[in-house]
Amino acid sequence: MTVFDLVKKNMRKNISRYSLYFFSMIFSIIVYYVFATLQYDQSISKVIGEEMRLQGIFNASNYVLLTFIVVFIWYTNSFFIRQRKRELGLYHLVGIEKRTIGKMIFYENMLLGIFSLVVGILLGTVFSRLFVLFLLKLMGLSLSITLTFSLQAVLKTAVVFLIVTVFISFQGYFIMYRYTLLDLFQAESKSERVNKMNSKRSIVVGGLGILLVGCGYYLSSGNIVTPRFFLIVAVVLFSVIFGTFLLFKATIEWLMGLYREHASGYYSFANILSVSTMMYRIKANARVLTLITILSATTLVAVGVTYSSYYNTKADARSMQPYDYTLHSKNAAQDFRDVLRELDIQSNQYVYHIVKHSADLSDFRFITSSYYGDGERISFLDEEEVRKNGVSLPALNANETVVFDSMAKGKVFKPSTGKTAAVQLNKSEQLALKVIKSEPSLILDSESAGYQFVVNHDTFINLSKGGKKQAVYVFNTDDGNKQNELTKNYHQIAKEAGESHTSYYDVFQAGLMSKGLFIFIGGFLGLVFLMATGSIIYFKQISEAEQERKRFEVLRKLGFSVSQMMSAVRKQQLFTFGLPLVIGILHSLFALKVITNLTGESLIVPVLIADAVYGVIYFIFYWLTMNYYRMVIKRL
Amino acid sequence: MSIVLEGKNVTKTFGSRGNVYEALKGIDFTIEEGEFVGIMGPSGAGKTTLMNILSTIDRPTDGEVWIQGENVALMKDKKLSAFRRNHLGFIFQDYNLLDTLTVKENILLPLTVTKMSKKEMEAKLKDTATRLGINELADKYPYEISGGQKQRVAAARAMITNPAVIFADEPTGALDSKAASSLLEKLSQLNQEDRATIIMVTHDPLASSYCSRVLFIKDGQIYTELFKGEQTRQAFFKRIMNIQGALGGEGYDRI
Repeated sequence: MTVFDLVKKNMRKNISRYSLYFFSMIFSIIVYYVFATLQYDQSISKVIGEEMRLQGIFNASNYVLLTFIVVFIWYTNSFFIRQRKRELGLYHLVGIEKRTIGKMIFYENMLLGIFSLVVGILLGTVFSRLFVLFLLKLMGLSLSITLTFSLQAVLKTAVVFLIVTVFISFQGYFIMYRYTLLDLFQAESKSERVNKMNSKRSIVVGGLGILLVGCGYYLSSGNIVTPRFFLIVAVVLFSVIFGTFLLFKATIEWLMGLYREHASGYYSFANILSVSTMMYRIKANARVLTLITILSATTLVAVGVTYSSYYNTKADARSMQPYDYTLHSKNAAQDFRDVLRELDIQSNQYVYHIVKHSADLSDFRFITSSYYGDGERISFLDEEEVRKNGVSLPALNANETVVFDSMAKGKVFKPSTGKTAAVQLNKSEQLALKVIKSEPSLILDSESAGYQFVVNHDTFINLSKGGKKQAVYVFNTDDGNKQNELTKNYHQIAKEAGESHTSYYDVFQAGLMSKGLFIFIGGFLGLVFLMATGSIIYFKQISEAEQERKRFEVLRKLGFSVSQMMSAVRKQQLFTFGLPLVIGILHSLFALKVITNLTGESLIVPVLIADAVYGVIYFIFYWLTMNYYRMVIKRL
Repeated sequence: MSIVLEGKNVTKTFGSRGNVYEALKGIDFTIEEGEFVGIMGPSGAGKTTLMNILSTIDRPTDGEVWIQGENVALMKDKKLSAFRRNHLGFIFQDYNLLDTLTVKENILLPLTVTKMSKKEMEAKLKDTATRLGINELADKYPYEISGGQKQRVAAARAMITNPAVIFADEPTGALDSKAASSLLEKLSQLNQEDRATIIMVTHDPLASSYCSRVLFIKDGQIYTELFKGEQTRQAFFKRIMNIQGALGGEGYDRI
């Protein structure tokens, strides 16, 4: 019998054990392949082509996905090998050389890798469209993505996974050299012991965990926009992550110990068994649980942010383009009016007269002074006209002003109330305008008017002597089905007049596309992360179920029923799955709150939706685990 | 004295047509309340099979097993596990303590599915643990105590529900001689003072000399039985050795 025969025989006999590894390989390959197909897809590159930012996001996502998949495969592979240590030890014991066993593992891994690569690409080709459609549906996106078969994507996937497979196979080859025979045989029986609660130490370490997480939360909810921004972020990340680790390493065990000692209901079968098992396991699982918590939090933040930016597309577009259509010359405006009449579209029309004049804004927020340094980007509007056009304003004195600044919502860009803008009217005359109010919105789009100051009528007249006068014609139209045609005409007119030509609908459509793609990638990665974290806990739990088989056997002999054992398992698993999820969600909510503080955008609804979807999919893994346990217990 | 356990024509066959192996060939016997019965015999005689059937872990192919007036051979699985929990106690060769539980929790485990209050449980625990001399071990974990202590904890777990019968499967098998005799003394003390009914499978004549009666099994049938009566343990031990010699020869356990 050659090594190869042994490999074949092995794989046929242990199909169920191999299948788990096989499925996670195939899953990774499908995911990567679908992503690669997306990247080479024409309909998507059309959207991307217009925006460099998206291209960057796509590339970065590609690397994140790749790193993640490699780590995931590596984890499942080592999990898989660990389960087989005893078998490998046995081969060695009966006299098969290490080199031969190494070769055997190498072949096995190569075979599995190549086989799953082929299956993965085939399945990927068949299901990628379905998968993309499902994801689009899930997120309620109206993106047109028509996936076409791409040879480039196949090649890319094949190359990446062949490299991974070869690497993992070599790692398998050397496994025998890393362990002694004794190690191989003790792999399963070597279990962590319950360390006696050294109460002082556990209070200190456990308390430190809570303290660190609390400290991270506290720091992040304060004002973090300071010159030491990156330092604060680093400290927050460190204290939350390390604190989470300590939570799992000590705090939970400590709290459970307290419960075990003091709770009156503790002496129930399900409690006694689940609590003790968890205390026994949690310390050894601290790293995995921390990983899962942090991954969950990261995923939720990423999905929450992307989803809410998509959710707020309309509001964002409106804040950039306050009026539907904007034109800058009388003739163009007249042409547009003709078109409106021709198409029979109801509209509201306004005219603004603005003065562009340089001003010294060094008193304002840091970004302002240099960016708005030249006069082109600073506009002054007439209080009377603005009020007449329907914008509400406080009454203004000659040296007072109201600033319209759409970004001044959050903590990064503070309102400029109380600051002074210094305007040099002519060589001898200087005007100091005091900001009495700062509105977090715009009157006109920033392309037309830049930074917008509304001033008293007299002051406006005064300013118009030295500045550049301009008229801006704006139109609000009824939402109708003729919007496409109107937009086309608008572009035509604006182009002929030599003006910049972006309408509200252009901004909205572009936002919908780019943010749609953005959230699509976010959702895609989120789903991958979720599947991977779910699988990691699932693997961990089923290997524990195997280790606990003997315990269940004892319990059965003592006369405990399947349902009694299952109720204990349920408690334990609910806790094991629920804890990282709850802490992860809590972390993500705090992180999102920080983002809300910075941007001033409300994220509550989209984040709740994202959390709910995440939780539901996550609990599929809980359900799978429970099924596995039920099978183990029933089969005794 | 009332009969606690009765076996009628207990038969067990393994394998299927053509290749049938008869492990128990219709065994009849009764065990009365307060007896301490040893079951001995060469390997392959059917000791463990008999024990598994009596303790309801396995089912007979034919025959009846009556425990406290109920035929457990016909009982449904669900009812059986409840019956096992409420009326039987178990001591295994390899202790089978749950290593994540403290000694106290291990002992209380069978009570945790009853409606007993925490106070009652603590009282029972104290009583049982004191009698077995493991009171001060309550908060320790199994890995912190010796084999003999572990087996006494297992005995306490078996005792705590006041079972009708306690089954002990080679309880001294993994113990050194000192720990073994100390455990056996405790068991016989429980038997005499608390009238606990104990059935013990063993291959060790010294262990069975603590019993009030010893059943010898050979080739799936009862070969003979010995009563201790009023004689000393040493004398009983000698008689057991004699029977064992007669039974012995090849195939007997080499220790």
